[in-house]
Amino acid sequence: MSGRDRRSVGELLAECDLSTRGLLINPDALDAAAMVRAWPEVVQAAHELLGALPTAQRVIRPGEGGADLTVERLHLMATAIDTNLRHRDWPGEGPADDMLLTVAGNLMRAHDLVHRHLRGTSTPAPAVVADATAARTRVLHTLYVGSHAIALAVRAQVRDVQVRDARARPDGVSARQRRTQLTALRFVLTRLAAFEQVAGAEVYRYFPVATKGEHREAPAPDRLRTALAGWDVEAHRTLAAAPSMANLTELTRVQTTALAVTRVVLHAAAVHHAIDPHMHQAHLEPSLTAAESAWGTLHGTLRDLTGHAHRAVHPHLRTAGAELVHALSELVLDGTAVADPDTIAARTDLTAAARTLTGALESPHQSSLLLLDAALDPRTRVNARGAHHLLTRLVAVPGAGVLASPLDAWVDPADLTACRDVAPPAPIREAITRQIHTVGGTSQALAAASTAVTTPPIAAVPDASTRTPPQVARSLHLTGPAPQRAAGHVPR
Amino acid sequence: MSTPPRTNRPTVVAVPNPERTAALNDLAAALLALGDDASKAAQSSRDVRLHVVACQAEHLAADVLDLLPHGPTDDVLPEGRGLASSANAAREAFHEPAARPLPQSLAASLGWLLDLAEAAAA
Repeated sequence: MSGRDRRSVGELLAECDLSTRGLLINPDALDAAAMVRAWPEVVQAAHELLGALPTAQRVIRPGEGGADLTVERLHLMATAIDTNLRHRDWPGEGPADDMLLTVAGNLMRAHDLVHRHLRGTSTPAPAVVADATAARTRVLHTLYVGSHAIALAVRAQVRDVQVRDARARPDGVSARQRRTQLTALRFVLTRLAAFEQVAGAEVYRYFPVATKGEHREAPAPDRLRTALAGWDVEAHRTLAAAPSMANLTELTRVQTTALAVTRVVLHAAAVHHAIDPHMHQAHLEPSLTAAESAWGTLHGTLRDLTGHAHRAVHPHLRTAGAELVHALSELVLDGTAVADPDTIAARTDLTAAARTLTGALESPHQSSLLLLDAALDPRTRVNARGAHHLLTRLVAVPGAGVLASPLDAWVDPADLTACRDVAPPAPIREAITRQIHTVGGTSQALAAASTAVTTPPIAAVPDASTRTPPQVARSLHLTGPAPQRAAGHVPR
Repeated sequence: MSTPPRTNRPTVVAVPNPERTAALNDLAAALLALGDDASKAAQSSRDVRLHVVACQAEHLAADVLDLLPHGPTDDVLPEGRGLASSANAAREAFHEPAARPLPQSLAASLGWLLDLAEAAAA
C-alpha cells in the first residue's frame, strides 16, 4: 500500500487547527514537559511556512525572509524559551508530545507543497492571496490554541508540584529539585502568556473572517444532476425491496434536506434573475416551504419511532444520500456559514443549477406515492417506547383515536419495559398515513409549481384583425420565459 | 533458502480492543444523538445547516460503526438534549484517544461536521 500523503495545504492546516483544539478537550491528560519539548519544532515549522506564503505584492522565493513581523516575533519568543530551558533541569531530556510533532510535520509538509506549487509564479492572483491569508490565519490560530494548551498543562504541573511540596517531608535534595522545577515552570508560564497574547491579538483581528477566502474547488458541473438521479433510483429500489423504518427515516431525512437546500439555491437564482423572481415568490417558495415542512414532520415521526440500534440503512441508499447531501452542501455552505446569493452565483451556474433542481422537484411526489405502501408493510416494526411517547402525544389530538384511559394500553407493558420492537399500533399507523397524505399533497403542488417555472412560454398570439407588422415581429422574437403567463397554468 | 509455503504461516488474527470498541460505539451514539437533535431543531428553523448536520451525522455514525464488527450496543431513542449539548458530547467522543486512529478522510469529515454543528448551534 502506498504511504504517499495526498492531503492538500488546506487539509493539512485544518488538521493542525483541529489537533491543537483537541488538546484542550482533556487538559488533565496533557504532559507539560513533552509539550514544551515539542513546541519549538511547531513554531519553527509555522515560521517557515508563513515565510513561504505569497503576499499581494510578490511570491516569497526560497531563502528570502518573509515580512511577517508577528510571526517573526513569535518565532523569536519560542526560540528564547527553548534556549533558556536548555540550561535548566526541567523539562530535560525525554519524549516530545506526539500530537504536537504531528502538527509540526503537517506544517512542514504544507511548506513543501507551497514551495513546489508557487515555484514558477511571480505575481500571485487575488484568489491565491486570499487563500494565503486564510492559511496564515489558520496557522496563527494553531499557534495560539497550541500555546494555550501548553500553558494549561504547565499550570496543572505547577499545582501538582506545589501539592507534592506541601505533603513531602523535609528533604534537602528533593525540595531543591522541586524548587528548580517550579522556577522553570513559572518561567515557561510567563513566557507562554506573552506568546499567547501576541498570537491572540493577531488571531482576533482576522479569525474567522479571513478564513472565508480559503480556496475551494468549484463544484463539478454534473455532480448535482448525477447525485439527484442516483438518489432517485436508490430511493425507489429501497422502498420496493427493503421498506424498513431505518430506510424510511433516511429517505425522509435526505428528502427534507434536498428540499431545504433547493429552497436556498432557488432563492439565489431568483435574486440573480436566473428564474423569474415573481414566479418564485408567488408559487415556488410557498410550495417548497409547505413540502419541506410536511416531509420534515413525517421524518420527525419516523425518527422518534426508530431506536439507534435499528438505524441500519441500506448501504446503497446511504451512499446515494451522502453523495446528494455533499453535492447540495457544496452549493450552499461557505465554510460553516450559509452562503449568500452572490457567493452561490459566483460558485455555480445558477440557471443550470435551478433547471436541475426544479426538474428534480417531481421526484418527491413520486417517492411519496411509494411511501404509503412501504410504511404500512406488515414487516414494519417500531420501537415500543417510541410508540408509547407518540401515543401519549396523540392523546391530546382530537380524533386521533387514542383514549387517555390507562386501561386501554396500545403497547404491551412487557414490550415497553424491554424496549422491544413492535408492530405499529393502529393510531400510529393512522398518524403516519395522515402525514404521508400531507406529504403527497404538498409534493404534488410543488411538482406543479416547478412545472410552471420550467414550462416554455407560450407566446401570446394577437388577434389577426389587430395584428400589425411590428407586433408580429416582436412575437416571433420572444425568447425568454414568460412566467406571468405561465403562472396561470399552475394546477390548483 | 526456500520460502515456506503460505499455508504453514501462522495466521494473524486481529484482536478486538475493548477500549477502542467502546470509544467508537460512544462516538457513533454521540453522532446519532447529534443528528437527531439537528433534525429536531430543523423542524422549527429555516437554517439549512441543521439539515446538513442531521444527514451528515447519521451517515458518519454509520461509517464509524462500519469500523466495528457489530452495530450499536444500546437501542437508544432520541433524547433531545439540545444541539449545543449534543455537539459538545460528539466533540468529546471524537477527541477520545481510545477512538484513534480513525481513517484520515473520516476524521476530516467528522472535524468539519462538528465545526458546522457548533456554528449552527451558536
